[in-house]
Amino acid sequence: MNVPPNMTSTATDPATGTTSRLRTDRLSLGYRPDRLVIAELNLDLPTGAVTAIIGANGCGKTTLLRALARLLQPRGGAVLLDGQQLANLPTRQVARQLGLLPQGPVTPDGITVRDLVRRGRMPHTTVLRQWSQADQQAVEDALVVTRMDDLAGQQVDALSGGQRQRAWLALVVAQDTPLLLLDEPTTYLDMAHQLDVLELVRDLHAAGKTVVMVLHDVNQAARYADHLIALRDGSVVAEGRPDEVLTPSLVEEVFAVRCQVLTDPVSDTPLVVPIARL
Amino acid sequence: MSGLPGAELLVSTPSGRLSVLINRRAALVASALLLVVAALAVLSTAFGTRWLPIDQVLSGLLGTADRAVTLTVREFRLPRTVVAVLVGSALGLAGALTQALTRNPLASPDVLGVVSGASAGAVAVLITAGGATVGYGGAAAGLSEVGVPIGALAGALLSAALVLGLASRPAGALPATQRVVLIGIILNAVFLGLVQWALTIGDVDQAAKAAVWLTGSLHGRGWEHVTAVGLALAVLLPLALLLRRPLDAVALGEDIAITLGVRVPRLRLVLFTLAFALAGMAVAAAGAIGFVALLAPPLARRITRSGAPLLTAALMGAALLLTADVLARHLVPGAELPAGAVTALVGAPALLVMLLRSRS
Repeated sequence: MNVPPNMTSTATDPATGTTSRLRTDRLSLGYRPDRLVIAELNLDLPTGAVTAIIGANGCGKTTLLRALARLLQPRGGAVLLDGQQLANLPTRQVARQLGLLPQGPVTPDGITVRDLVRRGRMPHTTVLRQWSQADQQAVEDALVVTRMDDLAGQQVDALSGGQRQRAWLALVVAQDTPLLLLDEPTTYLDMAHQLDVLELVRDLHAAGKTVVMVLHDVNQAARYADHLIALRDGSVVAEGRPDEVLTPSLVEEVFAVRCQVLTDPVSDTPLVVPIARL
Repeated sequence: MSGLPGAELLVSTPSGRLSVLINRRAALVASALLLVVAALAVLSTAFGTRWLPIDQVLSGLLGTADRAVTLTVREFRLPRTVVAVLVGSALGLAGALTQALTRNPLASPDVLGVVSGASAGAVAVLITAGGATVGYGGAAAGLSEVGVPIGALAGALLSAALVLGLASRPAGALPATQRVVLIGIILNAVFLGLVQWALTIGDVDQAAKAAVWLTGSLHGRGWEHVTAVGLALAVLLPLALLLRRPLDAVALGEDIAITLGVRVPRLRLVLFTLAFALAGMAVAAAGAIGFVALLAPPLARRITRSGAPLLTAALMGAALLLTADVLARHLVPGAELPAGAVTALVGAPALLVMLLRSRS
């Protein structure tokens, strides 16, 4: 990994001693001129960790992720990658550092899994050098990691929802970026396929990737994330390790739900059991 | 070169500066289609006011036949065939690019106002300039012979500039690709209205000629019609092929394309301009031939079983237009239909069938 060019602008987390390649600096985001979804947000996304962003519908989680992926221009402040403003970096350079799996991507008609995954190599190719052995290897590796190698020749249209999500994940894996942004990767999947995706996230983490994902399910976030960020109305209510952060009062504040927090007997992580709406 | 899993071949120069991945199936299909186009081209050249045996066509092409046959083949029949190949290819490629960019299988330059813009330009010249015109005008080739293609091209470029210019501005929450489609459809209606208006106020003779031009015909096309569209294709086809990978990324959606490092607005502008220029050149050469740009890409996708085959779509366009032109000359004995009438009469139902079958 490259040494950040500007050490003063990359934050060090005193608790873990890790640096954050990806940060926000007084970031303000919004779609309409009269209303900000997120105002002056300062956030460090720990490198090498799995960070889950949780919050109620409309709290700004997806908006934040879009800004981190440079799909949304800040209205104020900045997203910083290695201390440099994301908005000022060349598109291709960003694409080699940051990969994104958006919510509900739409596959073009009639393409195979391998053809889809191959498109993830876009930032590594040029107009003339359109393909190489390294690209090929990355695609085959991504297919193996996501267990899509047996389905590589199949049409994406013909796959189940869970398989299709894995195919899209394979595209992001083939892009081979140190930072991965996943927007609700488990939504619309059944239990088994949700586990597939989350186990894959764990594998990617083990391989040294930094993962930032928006999750709907608090318990999944607690189980699979090292770092939790709870958002409410565009502000961070709490962040830190799930077992430290996830308390009944936090859930009340963020989701307006009364609950008990138990310990997950399998993973030893917090387990939120909702009682009633406030 | 190396063996890859599946049906791909990695071809590169020794230095590795230039390397491309070739899909064996797509390459095979394209080669087969090229043979079909060549066969259709020979067939198209053999047809005319008088059937010329294939061996005479071939020796005419090679220059080994007697002078009369060589002259007929090379000067009268071959240009028409070549124009059909070039115009068909340009339309097929323009359609493939437009459909991939808009992610909409029903988008093509004839739906998005470019062809009707060209029609308006051509009709304006026909109605105002008077005198002899392309095709059925015959003897008195004059200002309008040159003026009609220029008018068509100007109309196509004006329309393309309007569509892209207006679509570059935000309009509510509409994504850019949908803006292009909606604005294209609206401008299409405006230009068709202008054409109708011009036909109504124009001289009856000129209006009749304009009507033929509007249907699109290859009648009386000579070498002078080949140059412009041929040059356009020679420059723009390789350019489109080089931009194949970013186009593939854009076909996954704007968000993904951006995160894959594509500068989407710029790429979209370049490729739309390319597609619309091809369509404009095609229309300038042969009139408003419909449905080729719409039909060639889905047919190409079907036979290659891949995302957006550009080369195959171009070849498919050539094959479709050659077939239509052969049919146009022989469907009704003793009368020649404009090729555009055939593409519309056959193309529209074919599109309907594809649409209904794709539901399953």
